[in-house]
Amino acid sequence: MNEKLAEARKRYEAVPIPAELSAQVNRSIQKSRRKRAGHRRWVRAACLAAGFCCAFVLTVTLDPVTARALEPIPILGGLVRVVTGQEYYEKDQSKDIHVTRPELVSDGAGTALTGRINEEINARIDALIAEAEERAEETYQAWNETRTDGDEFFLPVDVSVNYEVKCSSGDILSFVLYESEVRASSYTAVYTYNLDLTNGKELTLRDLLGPEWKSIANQAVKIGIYQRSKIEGNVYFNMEEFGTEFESIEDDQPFYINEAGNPVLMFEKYEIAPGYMGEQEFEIQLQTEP
Amino acid sequence: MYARQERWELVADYAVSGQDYFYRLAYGQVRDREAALDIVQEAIAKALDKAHTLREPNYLKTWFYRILINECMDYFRRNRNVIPLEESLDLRAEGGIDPGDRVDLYDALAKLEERERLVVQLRFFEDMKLEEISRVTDTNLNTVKTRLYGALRKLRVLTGEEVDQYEREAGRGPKAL
Repeated sequence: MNEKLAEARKRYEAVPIPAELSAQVNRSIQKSRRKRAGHRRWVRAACLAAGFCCAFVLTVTLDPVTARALEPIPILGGLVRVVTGQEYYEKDQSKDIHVTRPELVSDGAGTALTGRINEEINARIDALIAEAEERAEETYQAWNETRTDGDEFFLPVDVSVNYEVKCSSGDILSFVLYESEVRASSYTAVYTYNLDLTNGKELTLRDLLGPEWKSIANQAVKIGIYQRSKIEGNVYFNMEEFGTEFESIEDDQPFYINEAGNPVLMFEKYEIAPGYMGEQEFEIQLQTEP
Repeated sequence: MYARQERWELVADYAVSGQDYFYRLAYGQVRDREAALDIVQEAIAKALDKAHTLREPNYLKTWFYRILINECMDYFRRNRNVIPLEESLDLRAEGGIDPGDRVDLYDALAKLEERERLVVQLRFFEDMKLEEISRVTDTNLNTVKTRLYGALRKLRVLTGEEVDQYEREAGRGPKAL
């Protein structure tokens, strides 16, 4: 009888694994990742009149990060700084929210501009909090309905909002806004503000790279992936192993502008590589103007 | 305490590393390639969605198998009108099988009721303890035992062999059938 059992087990274990399983699993992971972050991601860029580059990144992450004050930025003859505005905490059974609002302050000349940007930031954060609260409540309800023994405790959804400055020199003020919350998300969705302080307009990749911005960006990413893949332990999605690979950036691919004035494309965890590779960033070297 | 944001990743990585095992389990249950693929896909999607409900990373396997098994059972529920009838007819037709024409145990398993087949799979092919089976199937221990011994009795009929040794193999069997 043991022989029959062993034979049955052998047959059980010998079941051929369909070739498409691996790609399918990978797609499920990517789909889940997009579902968490996709609907919340957008890129915001604005340009200001004056002339310097600074990037600030507004994030909603699971880890509270102290808001950092920006270096003073000259704007329209005055100075603009980013300081921590209102701090906001909210905690109940379904959520644990911590928001640190950045606030642009000016010593006078830039008041109209900073006022506008601050309004945008506040409106955005308010919307993010409202959405986060709604999802937290949904998650809690869903958990309540499907809970089983052993699921006595619901860990409140952790939400925190904070910001980070990427660049505070040059002619462009660029900041990225991210959002993520609840559902154990380990990446922060990216929301970027890239401001040209010389004219008060939003900077896009097209502005920085020209009409061929997408192919230039894609090429930079592909070269970056190729180069990094040479390093032991670095793996990016590729057709052979994963059934999927990087093809093109999104129209609204988040980017910030670094201190060198180059756009840096941001990819979330699992977007173009297995999770252990973490978030990925690729800098695009700007060609010198002819 | 395990950082919450890492749980989704933990589940994603587990899905990647364990996919072959998940498929094997699902296939063993439904014996249909496309259905097994669907089940694994659905289980992984749900697990990723519910990653935040994973309290203790050490119980990741139990937690995931519970979801996977639920998907298998859902599959049977969706196909309930068809499958159990066929199975019962099969069982009746082959119940008095000629000992000289014994059915392979793996094939015989396909003719068991799904929850009985599952408990045999988990116990003998996945090497789970009865307590573990109880947890992943969300079934109390006595019911697990009842199902296991019921399954073994049927297998004995179907394969034309004694199953006493299975009982000993199961470890916690009754002294007599």
